[in-house]
Amino acid sequence: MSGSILSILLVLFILFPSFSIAQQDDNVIVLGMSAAFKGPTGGLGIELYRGAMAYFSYINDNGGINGRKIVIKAYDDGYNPIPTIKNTIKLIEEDKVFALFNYVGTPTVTRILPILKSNSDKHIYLFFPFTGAMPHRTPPYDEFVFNLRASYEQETGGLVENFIKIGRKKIGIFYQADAYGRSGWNGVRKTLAKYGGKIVSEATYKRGAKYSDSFTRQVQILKNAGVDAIISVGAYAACAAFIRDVRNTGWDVPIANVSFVGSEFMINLLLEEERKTGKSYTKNLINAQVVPSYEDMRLPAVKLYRDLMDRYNPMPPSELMEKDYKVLKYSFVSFEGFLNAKVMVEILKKMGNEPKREDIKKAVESIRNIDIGIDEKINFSHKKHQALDKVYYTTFKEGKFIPIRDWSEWKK
Amino acid sequence: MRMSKLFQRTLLGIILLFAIIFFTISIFSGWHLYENLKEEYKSKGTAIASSIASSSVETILNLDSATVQAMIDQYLEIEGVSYVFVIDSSGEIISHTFIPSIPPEIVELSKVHKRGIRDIKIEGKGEFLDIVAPITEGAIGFVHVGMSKNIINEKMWAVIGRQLGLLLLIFLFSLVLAYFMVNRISKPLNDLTEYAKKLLNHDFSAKVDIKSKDEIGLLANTMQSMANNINEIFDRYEYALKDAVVELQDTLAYLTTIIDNMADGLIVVDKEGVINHINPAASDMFGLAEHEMIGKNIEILGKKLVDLVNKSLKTENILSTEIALTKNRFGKAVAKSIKKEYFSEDSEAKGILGSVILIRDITQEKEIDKVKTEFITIVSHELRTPLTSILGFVEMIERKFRDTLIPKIDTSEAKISKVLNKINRDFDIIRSEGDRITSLINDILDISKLESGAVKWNFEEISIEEVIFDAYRALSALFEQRGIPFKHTIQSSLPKIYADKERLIQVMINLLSNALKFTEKGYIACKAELKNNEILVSIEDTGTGIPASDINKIFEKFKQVGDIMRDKPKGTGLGLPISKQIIEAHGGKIWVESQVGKGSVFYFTIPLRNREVNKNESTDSR
Repeated sequence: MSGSILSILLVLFILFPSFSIAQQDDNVIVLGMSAAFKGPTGGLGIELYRGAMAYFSYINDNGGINGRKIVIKAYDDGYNPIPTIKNTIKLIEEDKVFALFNYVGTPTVTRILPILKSNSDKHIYLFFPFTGAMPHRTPPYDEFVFNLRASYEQETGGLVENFIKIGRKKIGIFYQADAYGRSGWNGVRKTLAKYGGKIVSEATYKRGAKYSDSFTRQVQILKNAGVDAIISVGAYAACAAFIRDVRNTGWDVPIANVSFVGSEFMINLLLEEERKTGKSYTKNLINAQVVPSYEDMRLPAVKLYRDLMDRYNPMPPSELMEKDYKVLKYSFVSFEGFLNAKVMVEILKKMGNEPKREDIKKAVESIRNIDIGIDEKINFSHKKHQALDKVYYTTFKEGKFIPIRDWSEWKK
Repeated sequence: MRMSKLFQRTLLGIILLFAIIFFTISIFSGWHLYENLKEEYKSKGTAIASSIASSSVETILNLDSATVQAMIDQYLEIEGVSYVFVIDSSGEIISHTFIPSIPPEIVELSKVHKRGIRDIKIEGKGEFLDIVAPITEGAIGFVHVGMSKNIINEKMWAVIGRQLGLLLLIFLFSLVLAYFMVNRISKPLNDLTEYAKKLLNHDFSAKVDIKSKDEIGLLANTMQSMANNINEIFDRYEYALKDAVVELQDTLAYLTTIIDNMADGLIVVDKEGVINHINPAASDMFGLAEHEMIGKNIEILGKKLVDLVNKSLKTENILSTEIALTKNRFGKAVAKSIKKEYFSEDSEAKGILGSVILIRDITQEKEIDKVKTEFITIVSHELRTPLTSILGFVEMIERKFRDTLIPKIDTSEAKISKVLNKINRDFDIIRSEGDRITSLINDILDISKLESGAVKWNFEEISIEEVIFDAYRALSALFEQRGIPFKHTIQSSLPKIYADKERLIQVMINLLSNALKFTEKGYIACKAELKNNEILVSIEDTGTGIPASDINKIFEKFKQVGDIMRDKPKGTGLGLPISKQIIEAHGGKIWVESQVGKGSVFYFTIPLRNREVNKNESTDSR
């Protein structure tokens, strides 16, 4: 009950900015979020929001941060750079948010980096964007961004190493033709280079592609090159459609996707396709994750996450959602959002009664060995703006994503 | 509205000219635009390539292709930029924007194209301008920017399309404008043409409504006044014609009225014998309605009329015959052929066109004649019988007086002698008067016989010479008594004629005694000759002659020339009518030529070989 009241309150805050601004200084800490809530990757923004809000609601219900409640001011950018830039400017200048939080996507995030740099006097920092791309992990923008998750290079690099281990050396890559895809591509390339190899074949697609689009050309390019493993760096609609088209040609090559894909979204589309056609689309799929599996009940964070998701089942403001959107009860994305929020709360807690933006960098960089309930400790430093490096590999079996203990099943 | 052909052609020419101009302008401006856009794209591409090249040194050195990608992605949003890719120093493409893969053409191009601008054609994508900017003079890599020529082409065509559309719109507007303007010029011309056509069809009442003051207006006015003039002339002629027609109709009506009111029947036939005109009298005479006669052949009216018409059509002479009419009536039909002289020169009528037959109802005349003849016959018989007994008794008395009384009477006594002489003279008078009355009655009987046809003819081959001399012998005593010489000139070897000798002698005696009667001194000459297949006989005297006014009467019955009251009649006065009857019965003619105070010449003719004719003639006249 209290969760829904909070939601209503939140809606009110969002609907009445003057009210929210009036409250800002005293009782609330506003975090600005621009993400895809609608369109082909809309599920990412929603689930990331839900995961974060589950924890913030919990904190707010328990007195907030020194009496201050945490709210997320969210805007939809549809996974497009220009709306993201506009939203960011709005969040900084109009909404005067405390920090930027939970952004989604590489092409979007990479484009706001100059804004962060130009607003460096205002100490605007971006926390935990849902992207593993390199531009905000490398100079000159790395100092304005704090990451929780591992990079795409780490994800793809790990995938390449695992494939090579099982003898699948001819690796092809299917990727989104932008900075996100390039980040994944670069990881594959660099890792292969270490082993003296090269990308055998590559195929791109245009950002914003829908599940209904055909990817047979990309499939043909890779198939003709005779690759024996595919690393897919894209959004879930396109990746699911790509897998569909690969399997439709009768090709059972292992296809590995990175964390950004939103494993549950991807798999739901494919399950839907299975129901429709009766064919099998969910075999030989490998999904890299940057957070542990929410099925791993050993972890305290998973327990809390499930508990809070069940308890609050938070929803983004209705105007940010498409009407027919079906929420995922649990997901890697919302779990990542949950963990993002948990670390954020730890940071805010460190900032005392009067949190000031100019203190953020110092506060974050001073975090050492914080346990957030997963088997990895959180560490930040002046040089280290990425807390986690571990990549988790999962595969879809018996209706759920389970960690891969043994890669040999795909051994060539 | 129909446009004149002249203007249609002109307009078509203008359209063609405009089309060529439009096309040329569009092509030129399209080409111009293409060149400009190409230049613009080149400079744009060059700027972009340079910009990327200058700002990507660090990132490339860091092997951070994602950052490079983020940068080149931004430029892809710039209009005209189709692709961007970056090659590192090893020649490997480290970032690109190709979907779904790098085209092989690009892979090839990247190996050779290191500076400047090149045209490249990528299969399935189109044509591009590939612009290269080296990064740090190529030591680090190269940036390639692909500017789409497709867009240039699209833009060019769009502009050409818009331009053509606009020009077309202007052109259509101009066309409509031109159409109306041309129509404004063309309409009067069309009207004028229509008007001229109407005039050609004699519609002079047509009007043409052109009020413009230009040449067309002038022409229209001129045509209109010309038409008016013609119209007036036509009207005048029409009136004149109407008058003439009325006059003609009146004349015709007048003539028709005359014809219709004629007491005589009138029948006009054409040369085929078909009746084409009759009058009511004729209709009545034959008891046939007009429509029963008109258009029919004359043969419906009897054989006699057919013969009459046939003869008439062959001659210009007036022919006549008697015919029987309905209701026991008789008619005398007179036929005369119609000659073309009476028609205008232009008429198609040629030669004899037909015949006009006039029929007079002579029933009454015939009746009277018959009654008269019968009366005369009866009277003559009744007169002659007592007269013969009177003359017989007178002769007997005289003989008895002379033979019995006179010898016993003393003739010495003067008084008795005187009485005796007187009685003798009276006997002579009684005898001569009796003879005269007898001869008169004989003549009357003769002519009534001739007229009634009761005469029995005795035709035979005779010589005219005999006739003449027999007649002269009968009168020779009278010639001697009068002391008038008889001259005769008879052509030798005249052919014989077929005639009644006694009757011809009667004619001769008549003519000779007539001549003697009126001739006091001089001579009487007789001439006979062959002329025109006829025997022509003439008896010339040197007597008193006949006045022209009487010349036609002398052959009529009981018409003696001279003052009957004053002059003692010298004959019965029937000699010439009888002669006429006889000559005509022979198919001849009898006539007289005379000069008062100088004498007269009587002529008669007897045709040769006229036996049949004679018979026919005698039948006809019955």
